[in-house]
Amino acid sequence: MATGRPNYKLLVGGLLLVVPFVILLAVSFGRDPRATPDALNGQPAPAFDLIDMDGNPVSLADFQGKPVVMNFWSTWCGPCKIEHPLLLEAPSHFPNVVFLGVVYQDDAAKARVYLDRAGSAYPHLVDPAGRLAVDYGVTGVPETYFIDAEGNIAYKHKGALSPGVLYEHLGQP
Amino acid sequence: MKTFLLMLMLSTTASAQDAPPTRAAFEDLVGIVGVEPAGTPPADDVVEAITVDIAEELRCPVCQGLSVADSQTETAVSMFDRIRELVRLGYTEQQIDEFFIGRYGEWVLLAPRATGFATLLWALPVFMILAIPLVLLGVSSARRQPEKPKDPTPPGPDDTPVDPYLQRVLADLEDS
Repeated sequence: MATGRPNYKLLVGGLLLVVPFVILLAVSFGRDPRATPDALNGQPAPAFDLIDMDGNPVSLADFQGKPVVMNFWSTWCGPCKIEHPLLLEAPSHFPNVVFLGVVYQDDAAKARVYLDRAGSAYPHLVDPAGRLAVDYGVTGVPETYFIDAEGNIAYKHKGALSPGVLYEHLGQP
Repeated sequence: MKTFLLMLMLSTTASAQDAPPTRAAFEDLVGIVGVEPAGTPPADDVVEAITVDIAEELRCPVCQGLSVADSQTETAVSMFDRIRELVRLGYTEQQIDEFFIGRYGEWVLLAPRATGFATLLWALPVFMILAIPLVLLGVSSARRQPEKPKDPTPPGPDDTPVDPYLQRVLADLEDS
């Protein structure tokens, strides 16, 4: 076996080539390619003036000083139906929190039929042309935004809600 | 096909495009974006072209592999409409990019900016192109270069000592 001084130039050159690649791969493979960043966390929640399904005007400014939970949902979304019973119960557990639903990429009439059948415990907003969803950076449903009493987005939850998520972000009722 | 779909999309939103924004709508939109438009509103006949240019650089968050201009999902159409509204008000491409980055992160740009970690993506190929030939050159020259022979002759008695103290001792011995 040959022994002797290692070729340091070759060693350093090789490391310079390999190390950036290893770092790049380690970081890249550690990411979920479908994940989208929650860029609005900590930012002021975009204001809106919309009409709910009963025809009443609803504005985010109406709820200044109160935490708001805004849930984007649709009738064609399976996980939305899974979380619906939890959201029906939630306002009674968290009476100081404002709950709002936003019908996402769906027909308002279908949403009305669904809510008549499954129940509704808070206003559901109609989002014409999906502008509100764009302003909030919605990428799919269900997505739920926890807006703090100062009007900033505290947390965005993707997927069906669980009681643990509500307790974690709204505190004990 | 792409052009046809684009024309179809544009024709379905023509009424929204023709309606000038009211003062209240303008203020609402400025409130949502967070800044006033930095540019001047473009002429109506170039709004669509500018909108398409910007939409082609933004990723559809639903289908992800397509740009907002190419995707026909409702989300992409909503984003396209929002871009058009912002263009009509005089928002610049950079401001509109920032608006969407503020909602979806840098991820929404189909071509990531050369900042932060993304710098590595841009720099690495250039670095590799430059570094690989240098390393290969180093390897081949190292192979060609004969190994230096080790000094076979140890210092003999005639060699001049370099240690100044030893020099002085030797000089004293010679004097005595």
